[in-house]
Amino acid sequence: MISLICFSLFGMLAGLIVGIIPALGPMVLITLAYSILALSTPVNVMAFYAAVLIAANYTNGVAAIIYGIPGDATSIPTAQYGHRLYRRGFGSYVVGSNAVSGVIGVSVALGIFTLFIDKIFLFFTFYNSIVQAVIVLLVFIGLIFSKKSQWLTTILMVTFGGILSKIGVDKYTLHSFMTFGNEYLNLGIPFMSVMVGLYVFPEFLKKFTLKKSKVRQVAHWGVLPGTFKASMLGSIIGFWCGLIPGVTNILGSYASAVAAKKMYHNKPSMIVSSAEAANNTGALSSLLPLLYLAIPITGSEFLIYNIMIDKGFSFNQDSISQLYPVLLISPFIAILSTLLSWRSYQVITTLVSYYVGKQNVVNAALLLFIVVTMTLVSIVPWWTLLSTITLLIVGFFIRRMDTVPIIYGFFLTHAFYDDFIRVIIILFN
Amino acid sequence: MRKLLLILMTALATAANGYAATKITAVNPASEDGGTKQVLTSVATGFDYNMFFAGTPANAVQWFSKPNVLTVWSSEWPGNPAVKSPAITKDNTVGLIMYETAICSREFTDLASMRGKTIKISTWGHIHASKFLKTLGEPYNINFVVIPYSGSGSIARGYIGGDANTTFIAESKRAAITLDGKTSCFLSSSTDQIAFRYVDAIIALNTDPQLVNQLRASLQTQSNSASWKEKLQGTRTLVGGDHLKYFNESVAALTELIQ
Repeated sequence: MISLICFSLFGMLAGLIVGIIPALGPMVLITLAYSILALSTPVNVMAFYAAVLIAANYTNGVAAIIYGIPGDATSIPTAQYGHRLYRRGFGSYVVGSNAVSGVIGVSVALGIFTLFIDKIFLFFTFYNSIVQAVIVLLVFIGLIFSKKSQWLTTILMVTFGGILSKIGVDKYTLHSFMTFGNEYLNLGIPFMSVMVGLYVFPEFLKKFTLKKSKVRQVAHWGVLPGTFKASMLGSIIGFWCGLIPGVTNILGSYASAVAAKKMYHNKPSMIVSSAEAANNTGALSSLLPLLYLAIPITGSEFLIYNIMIDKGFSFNQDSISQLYPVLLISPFIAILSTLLSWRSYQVITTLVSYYVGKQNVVNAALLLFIVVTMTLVSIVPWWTLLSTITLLIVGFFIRRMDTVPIIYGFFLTHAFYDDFIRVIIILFN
Repeated sequence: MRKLLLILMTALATAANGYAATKITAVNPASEDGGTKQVLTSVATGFDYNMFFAGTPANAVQWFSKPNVLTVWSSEWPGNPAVKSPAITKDNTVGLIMYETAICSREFTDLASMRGKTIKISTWGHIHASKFLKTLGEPYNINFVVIPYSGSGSIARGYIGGDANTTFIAESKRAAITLDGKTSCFLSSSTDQIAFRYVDAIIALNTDPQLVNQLRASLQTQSNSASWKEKLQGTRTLVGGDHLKYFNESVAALTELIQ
């Protein structure tokens, strides 16, 4: 039990650090920790991984709120709406709500695990291509009509993101799309290049102004009123979206943000709470296909799967009971992560107060840091760098636009296209 | 003392040279989160190696001019004119991994019960699978309509979700799809009831026979381990180049399907 606690705490600390550094994520972390994890027991490995997933979401959200930079695509709604609240002087409240929503999200996921532990297989029997296609389609519709006056621009942006995502050689059919015989284009456009070039950079260029007086208000803990309902909404949506391969909690956070936007009349506090709860619930529900069907659906899960199999673990319903201790310790990890993310928020905001008036320099340094980090952790560094520079140039020209639809177009196109083809065959053949 | 230092330095330099000569370049031609990486990592365990991620077979080729290359080549690729396959011979083959397939259903128990019907079947989206099913169904006048997926994991999820009541899938996913208690797998390549399997050749390029033998020994050790059997369940591992006919047969069968 002591080693389980140690691995959970180790995972939590690693997750908190990884969450705060854009371009890193569970996949990079698990790759780095692979050899250490390979020495431990399967239960400890899962405890580590669950703690990473839980903790990374907290500090990811904190960084998104303060800087307006999403550490990954799951925190785009938080960066959009949370940063807006932060600039209005509600930083402490939105971080507090973010943390509470995260705990609610984790609790809902664990509650569902516990209540339906013997019947979880039934979840998968419900989850077919039609259901998945409808969910992704609703998200697309929500995305397109979230700004009614700009629906055509949004469609064009989603399409542009979709085209970017399709560039490369399909891993299964080996058909190439827009590669023009170039061996690097065969690899496809790295997601982080798209994120940095077409979202983070244009956001920087919008030159938000931080007011020192507002930054000083961030010392005390608080929760934005009425966010419990939004968190519950996000948890339910996030749980189901977490089961969709490839998009998991990215889709969940956005879908719940769209739902909260509609239900709570565009209130940023509700949108952030809903998205963060969905993010945390989805991160955990995405583990279910691995645990019950031995089918990993994310890159980091695949690494965990391999380590655990190497240690003699079998993924099936009978062996799941061995992982109950992880289920028990996870709520404590969530609460501890809350406290630590609050502390990290205070430290970061203190740092932020020093750079008021110099934000352009600091933003440029942050951007450089992100580009260097993502290049270093990339498998093909020069290609990542070249893609990023190219997209930074594109980002410069579209800096006045809301570029979020490009990011979601990039992420959701694959999932939607594949499901759509299947739905046509299922319904009309 | 100086002599001692010289001897030590010479010994270190010699050791370093020997080490450098056997440095392996492991090239992963498939996705980074796929099983190929795991196979390469396992076989290269105990050797000094660098892993290069190519992502696709077309990209992997650019690393093949390096010395001591270790890679995995699927029998799907030699039939594809877009991919320049390396020469796969008895001498450079470390071993083969045969991915067995099965036809399973929660509605039917054999091909005869499908006679004359249109059957929606969840399987791989590539042309090999659909051509194979067309050939398989012809004697029974079965019209297989393929619901396409990118890999075995997604085929299994789609089947469990009810996209189709019949599936053509990798044997490794049999356990997951039979959890419903209604599904039975009635045809399998592992018992030669159907002649459709993918064969991966683990090959060593630009290297000496001694290293190939060492890699074969490593594969032999790994393939006997419990974790290898668990990770690669539904597959058969054959060590050495003597079984290359299985790879060539699979290449011929898959190539014929797409012609």
